[in-house]
Amino acid sequence: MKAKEERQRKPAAKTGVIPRKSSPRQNRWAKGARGQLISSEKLASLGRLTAGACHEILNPLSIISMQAQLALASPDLEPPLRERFQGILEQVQRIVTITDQLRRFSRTEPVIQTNMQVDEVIEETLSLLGRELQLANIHLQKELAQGLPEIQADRRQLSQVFLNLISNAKDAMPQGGSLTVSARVKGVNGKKTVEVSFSDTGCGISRENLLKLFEPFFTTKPQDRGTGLGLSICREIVESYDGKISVESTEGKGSTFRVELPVPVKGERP
Amino acid sequence: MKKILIVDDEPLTCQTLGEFFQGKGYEPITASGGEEALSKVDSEKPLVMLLDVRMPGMDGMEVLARAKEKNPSLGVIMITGVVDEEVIHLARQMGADDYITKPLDLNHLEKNVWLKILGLMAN
Repeated sequence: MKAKEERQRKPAAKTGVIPRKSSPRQNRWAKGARGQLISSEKLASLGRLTAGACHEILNPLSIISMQAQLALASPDLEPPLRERFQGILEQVQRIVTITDQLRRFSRTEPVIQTNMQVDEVIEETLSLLGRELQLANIHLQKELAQGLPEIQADRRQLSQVFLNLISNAKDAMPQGGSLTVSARVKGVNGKKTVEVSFSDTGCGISRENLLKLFEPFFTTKPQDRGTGLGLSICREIVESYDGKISVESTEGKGSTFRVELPVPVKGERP
Repeated sequence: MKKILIVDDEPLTCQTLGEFFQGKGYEPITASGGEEALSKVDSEKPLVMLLDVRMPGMDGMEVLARAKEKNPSLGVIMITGVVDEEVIHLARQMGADDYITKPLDLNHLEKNVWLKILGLMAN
């Protein structure tokens, strides 16, 4: 301990500045900040690695796909073999979906946070999916409070979160149903947040699955429908804005996903 | 003859695309890199070039620029692993006619090649 103190004092002798002894709280903060920095650097490298790997996977995958397409083009191909090659093409498509999701997950492009009205982003996203919901016999109800305060987010990312949650709600109601999208202001400990919720009348989620829902690669959908990355991407995005995402669900009755986004204090910049 | 040049550093990609286009009545020729491709643009005078964007050494964008200098009417379809809007925009500005992503849908690719050849014949 004494030797350590000596080492700490040495620079003081050179600069003439007496180092202040750090409090345990400062030490904890420094350790946490350093940990976060290392973790974000690791994540960035992992992102670059993943993006590169996805690119490399597509080359051999394209060859596999072309070989299967060539085989299927042959008129002499026996039906059992034809089915096998079709199976290969279906699985190729599945890998493409996974690599697409992984690339989005590991995207290293800059995030541009600006002030925006959450209800505008909701409306934009619903305009993309409105027709799909209609075709799936899903009744859409909007309960968007008037005069919502602005929040800070990347418009593309936030739209991706809403798109994921609405698509999941749609998938949870294969026989049709009702989706309520609402937005309101909430005050928690003097801090305001905008809460956006998506309530469906679908199949609901079991208690066991609720615990794993936001884990990467966890999915309850059939193999060809989901990669299990959608909700973990949503959580990643929402938490990067210091927001929260949560879910309440009753099996057989439906689920409600809530996204809470902090309202910046006036003058605060993104 | 519908001569097309396939440029990709993966030999199996060249071979498979070659086999496919031959079966469809085209005359495919292949090149495994930029220099070879440019030399074949001169010597073989293809109508359309299928060009991989990502190649070691001279990349697809450079091959595109230099091939278009040699033959401005050469049809070029870029082949890319991922959709990169910036690269696509730049390639179009440099004279590429279209782009197609991997894994390649052979029938879709052939349709694009055929449409390009029809356009060239009409002119």
